[in-house]
Amino acid sequence: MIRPCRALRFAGALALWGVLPAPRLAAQAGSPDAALVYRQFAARVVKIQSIEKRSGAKSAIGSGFFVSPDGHVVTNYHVVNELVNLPERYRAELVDGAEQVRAVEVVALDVVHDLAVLQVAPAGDPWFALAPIRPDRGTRLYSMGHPHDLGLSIVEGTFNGLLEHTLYPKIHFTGSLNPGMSGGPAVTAAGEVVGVNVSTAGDQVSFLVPVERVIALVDEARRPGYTRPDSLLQTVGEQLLRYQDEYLARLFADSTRTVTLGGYQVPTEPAPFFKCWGDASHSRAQPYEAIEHQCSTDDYVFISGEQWSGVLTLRHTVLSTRELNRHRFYALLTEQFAGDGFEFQSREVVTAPRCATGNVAHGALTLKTVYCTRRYRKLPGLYDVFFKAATLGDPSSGLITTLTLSGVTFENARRVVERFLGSLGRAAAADVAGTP
Amino acid sequence: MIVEVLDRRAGVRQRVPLRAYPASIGRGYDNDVILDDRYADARHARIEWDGHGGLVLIDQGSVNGLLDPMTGQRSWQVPVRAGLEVRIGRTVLRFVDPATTLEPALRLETGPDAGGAEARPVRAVAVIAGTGVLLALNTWLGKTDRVRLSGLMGDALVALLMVMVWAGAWALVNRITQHRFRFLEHMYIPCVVLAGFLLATGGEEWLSFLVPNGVGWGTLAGILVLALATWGLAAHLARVATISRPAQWLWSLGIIGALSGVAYLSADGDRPDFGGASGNTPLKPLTARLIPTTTPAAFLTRVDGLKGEVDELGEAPEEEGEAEEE
Repeated sequence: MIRPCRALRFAGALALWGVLPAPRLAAQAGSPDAALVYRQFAARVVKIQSIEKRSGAKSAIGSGFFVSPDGHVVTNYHVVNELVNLPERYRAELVDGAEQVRAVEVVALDVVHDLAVLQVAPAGDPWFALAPIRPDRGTRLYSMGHPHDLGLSIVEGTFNGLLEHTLYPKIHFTGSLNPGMSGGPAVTAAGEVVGVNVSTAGDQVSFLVPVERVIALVDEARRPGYTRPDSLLQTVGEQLLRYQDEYLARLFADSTRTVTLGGYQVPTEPAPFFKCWGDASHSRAQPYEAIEHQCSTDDYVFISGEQWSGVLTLRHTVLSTRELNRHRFYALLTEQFAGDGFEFQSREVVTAPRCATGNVAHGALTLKTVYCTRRYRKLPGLYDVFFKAATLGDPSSGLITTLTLSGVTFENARRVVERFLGSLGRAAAADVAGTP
Repeated sequence: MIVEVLDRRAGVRQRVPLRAYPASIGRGYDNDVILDDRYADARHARIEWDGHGGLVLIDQGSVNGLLDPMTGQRSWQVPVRAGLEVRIGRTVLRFVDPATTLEPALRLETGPDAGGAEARPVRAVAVIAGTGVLLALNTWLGKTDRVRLSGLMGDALVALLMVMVWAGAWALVNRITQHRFRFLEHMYIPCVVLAGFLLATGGEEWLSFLVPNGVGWGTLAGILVLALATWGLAAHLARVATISRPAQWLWSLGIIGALSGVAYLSADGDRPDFGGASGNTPLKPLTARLIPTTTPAAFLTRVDGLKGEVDELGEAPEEEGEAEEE
């Protein structure tokens, strides 16, 4: 499970990350390049801190870098998300290499790619000129930032290409990124920005936002006549709406791919950016067998510390028994069916869920169907949806299937569920025979 | 005037009608009201006419005097009226007017409730055993892992043991108030309630399986169970206390109402399932043919209705939306 390289939260975050093993690549540092890169470019990298107005203390820190002679600074959206979500409670400031503190303002953001452009006055700091670049796999990169607020650091690592099976491009950076480095640049030895530090999966597996996305956002912010949106949160909402329209259109796009699972035909791999896994279990301790198949995306969109979106998962479980009588088997199905639901999110960000339950006849299947939805409070037009269905009527086998969508419009979710429901069925006899 | 000698729990130990005055009160055997109290004088006090048609209680120079039972204040002379309470030594006396109107006699209960289980022990034992079997069956059908018979019996026995503790407590109270335990009856009552509860929840599951999304089956079953609990408590009260039948029901209703009110208020405010729109629904082993179904399109039409519901929740200010969930 990929965890976001969230901006450093005090105490708790420090304790959590304190137990991480020391970065191995850094141990063999001492390459003259790193020292050179640091000397040449350190002044272009800054620390960004989010300040809670009433306490006057920092609530989160991250990194950023200058990208224009006019005082534009790039960082991650998640570093400054508090300013976007609660502008009345937070402000941001920038600490440069000379320990000078300056106020900054968010002027543009890209919530999907986790980017934000800030502006600082007065301008005149050294800056990185951005240009599209696609280094060779294995190229040495230097990532800079403020890990755990310990001061500007440089981390050496390698470029490992773009991730496969993702909804939007991300660079796989083999190097150790830590909280606080979010928003810092990863550059080549020549100082060309390749990407922006964004998240880590632990150990040496880290991710960068490709520079192309940064260029697009910076160009937009520097376009003559560009004005900062009145409500940044509204911009977040609009971007999420556009994003979900785009990726849901690609879902179950052409003919739905299906897989046969214990006598049932179920949809799988709704789009190439999904990863699917499966497993079957039969332990002697259990009086039943379970076959599982699930698909999900690695991508999700960070909105705030309390809310994330863009998660899409589907899971099928086929249960069968030779031991349990029908009543006990259905108690098992009920138990498994009840297990699925929404991930908890604060009532401040989502409404209570509302559900519809039905008994549906679909082809050869009789299904119990449950459709639940809840609405985003601050981002109108966006909903979370989960749909689950269980087959009925068979005394010793049953399919339970769940589809979860988050941060989508009501209509899109309904359309996807309709297609999903439509693709469920009983496997043809030949298929069943073929399954081991 | 009648003098009531009260015991420590304010119960009446002795009633002495006074017919002629002056009348004397004290520890001596020649008194009209004889007190068994080492703190009272042999001739403690006297009641006589005050000359205006009233009576007065006069201290006869006793050691401890006439005391106000509430304040402990000593008086030498107290005008006597109905309802007056006076402490002499460690004894409290109450004066009662013989003309006091009384409430009508309580009717002796002869219905099946009151004559009850003791009159029909076979029925009581059958109900108790039946509840045990129902509990064991319920546990067994709900178990999804391998189980041994002993495990199932264990669960049922633990439940019955708890019922026995409950019945025992009532029986003890019964022994105090009525000098009879009536344990079997107090055992029979919670078993009926428990069996009713199991049947109501079981029935509710089947109904909400067959007819989802319509009726608030859960609420219905809840009301049924609460009514049963109220009956149970009233039946316990009928055995331990000598209060009228409406009073039993009122007390019972009040207690059950208050308890469920407290439970409702202290339950987590987050109740997304409230109102029958449940995300968790039971699955039952019924032949597909017998299950009433709709088409996917009809189901999705109902789904469309959810948009309005969550939009309404979303548009309401946070606090209000929250309150609605409470």
